[in-house]
Amino acid sequence: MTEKEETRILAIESSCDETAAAVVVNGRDVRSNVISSQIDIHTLYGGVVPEIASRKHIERINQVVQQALDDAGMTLDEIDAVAVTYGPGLVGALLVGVAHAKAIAWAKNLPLIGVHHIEGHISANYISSGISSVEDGVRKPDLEPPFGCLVVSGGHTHLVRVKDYGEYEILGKTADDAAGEAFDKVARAIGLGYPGGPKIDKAAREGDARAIEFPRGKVRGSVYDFSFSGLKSAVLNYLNEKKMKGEEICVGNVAASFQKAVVDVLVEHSEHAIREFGFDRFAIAGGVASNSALREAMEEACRRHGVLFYRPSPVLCTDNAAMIGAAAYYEYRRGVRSDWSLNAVPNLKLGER
Amino acid sequence: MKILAIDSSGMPASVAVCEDGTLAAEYTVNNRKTHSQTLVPMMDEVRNLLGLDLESVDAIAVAGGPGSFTGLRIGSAAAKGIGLALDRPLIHVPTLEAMAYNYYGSECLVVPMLDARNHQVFAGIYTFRQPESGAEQDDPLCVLSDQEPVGIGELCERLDGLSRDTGKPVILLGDGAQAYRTMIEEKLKAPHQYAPAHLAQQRAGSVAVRGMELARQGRTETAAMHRPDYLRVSQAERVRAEKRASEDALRILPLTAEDLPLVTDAERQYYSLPWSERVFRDALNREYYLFLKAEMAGTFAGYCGFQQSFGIAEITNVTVLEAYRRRGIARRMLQVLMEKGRARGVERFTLEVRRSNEPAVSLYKSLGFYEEGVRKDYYEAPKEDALILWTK
Repeated sequence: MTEKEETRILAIESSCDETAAAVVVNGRDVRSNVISSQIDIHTLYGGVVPEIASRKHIERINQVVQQALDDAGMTLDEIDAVAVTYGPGLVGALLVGVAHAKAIAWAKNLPLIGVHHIEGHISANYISSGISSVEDGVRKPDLEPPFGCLVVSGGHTHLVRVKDYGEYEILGKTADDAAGEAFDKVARAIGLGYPGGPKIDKAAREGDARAIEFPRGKVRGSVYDFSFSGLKSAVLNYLNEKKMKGEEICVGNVAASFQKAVVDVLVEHSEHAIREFGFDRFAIAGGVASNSALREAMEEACRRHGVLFYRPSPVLCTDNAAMIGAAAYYEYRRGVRSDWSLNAVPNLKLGER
Repeated sequence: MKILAIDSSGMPASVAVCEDGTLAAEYTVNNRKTHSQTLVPMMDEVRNLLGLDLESVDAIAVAGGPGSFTGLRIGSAAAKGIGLALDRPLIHVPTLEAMAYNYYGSECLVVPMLDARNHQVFAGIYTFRQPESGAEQDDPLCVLSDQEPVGIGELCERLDGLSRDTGKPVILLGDGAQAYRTMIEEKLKAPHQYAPAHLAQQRAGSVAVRGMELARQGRTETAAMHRPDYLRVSQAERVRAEKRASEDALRILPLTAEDLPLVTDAERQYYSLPWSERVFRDALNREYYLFLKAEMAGTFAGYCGFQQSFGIAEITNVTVLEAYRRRGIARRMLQVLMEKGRARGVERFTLEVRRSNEPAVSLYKSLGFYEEGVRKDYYEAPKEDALILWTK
């Protein structure tokens, strides 16, 4: 590929508590991926505090963007477009990235591309440096639409049909809590603290997933929608009951049984979609995609159905800007451009523009 | 020196381009549309109308606070982005100093104020040095009271004092002056007037000119280092700091004979069958009693104790003075009491509580107590059952 055919995108992401910037070439080649996490600060408060998150973003954004350019060995003069997450997320946090990206693009006369955060998560699977591209020593083909994708994170639980680049159909979503949210709440209740996902994953390894029978949430009239609030309540009730009786709680068993209940539902719905739409590729994305139980169960399910399984490397599962750069590239190719009035949209829907 | 200036600290969004003595453009829109949507389009319009080459800009001046937290960040993030893209320094202009520049040269007490909710404003008190009074190098702006959050009442008192001492009248501007006009009229005695519309609000032209003065004094910063000055911590940080301060201020100490007058006062006030001073004095002298008191910032706030019999201790007199309730003092006191009891060989604790005293019952349950029985009509005035609680 000659230099002229390269599209170099500077991407910025600040929708929650990570300040991130990346340089991505042609959507799949990550030249830099800088993530500045605020997790230490928010841990003090047991969760993300929006005002503090916004303040931290503004303190770090220039350093993060400059680092991404430096790591890529590029200056802004070599960048072709600026991309930024404009929703969904915390409005104050999103606004920092959006205002910053707009100003850079405006000052350098570069095109601006607003990206949907979830489309970013899905697009993390396009990035070829992801470790998932090699399986049993055999290199899988790069992921291309159409495919099915399960997006699971602290704020989102979506089962998505990716028809083409930039064309998404939501098959199912959560009716109440996001899966990651349930992880956080249950982790807090059993004294594991924040963030819940990795802590439950770890504790579950010491426990028996069949020890406690927690309910598998169903949403009436929909095979694809999710519900996790009933499960969360069941866990809290179980804990209360044990406490009232003065009985010991086995944290490992609660974590493992709860995690199994979540994973079972996620996998079952995904398998249903694989059968109905005949996907030959299936991907997972979002923070919870790095959960080992979900990964193993999804991989196993895909093997059973003879479907190629994709997942981003762990660093691309958490919020990052490389995935925004990947999504932005396909938007850019489709001719999508945002104007200077681009605003943060905290409850932006997938596929809505 | 050519400066691009931004102010999005309040309701108005404003951008300006100023070169030395010439204000080339100033664009201010004061409506409810979000700055996120308007600011860059406004800058773009200014650039196009001026045919401005951004490379010719020497620095970006931005109203750095106080103001709406989100508004400040939109302006800051934009200024930082432009600074990064052009590799130019930023000038952090205190919002209220820029607003004072709306009255550049005035001999009055110039008082910009922004509404900070709950009868508070962010306010500063400024006046201008007159040409004959100093050398040319002097900062023309004289800060009599730096910008800070202040109550309307306190601000008015301060202004009355300053106005009396200096003989200067007061000029009030900013959205705080409008929001609290009725209160100000009640409290402010000094001669004063309100700024007319064209001088009453934030404008980037003033940010640019004040910014140029600050740059002349060498007060620029890198785009990376710039951050807004909110003049207030976030609510979550404030709540956390208060909680820690109150925990720090709370001390649990042994009850002594000197405390007994306060204790018997409380007994008489809160109990239908109070213990007398003599009973307490007696208890303090016996090894099988233990009594503790709580002090909040050095002041007596409550007490509790137990009577031990081998492995069992009956907790009595759990009392927190009314003014100190709902701050977790009883919990802390009981935690320490039970810790000390266990160290003395207590295995189980028991206590009685009025059935209707729900906060106490739930506190005890959270400390590991459970109901083991009821004493019918145990309490007097009003007559009521006592729940008998035990720990495991």
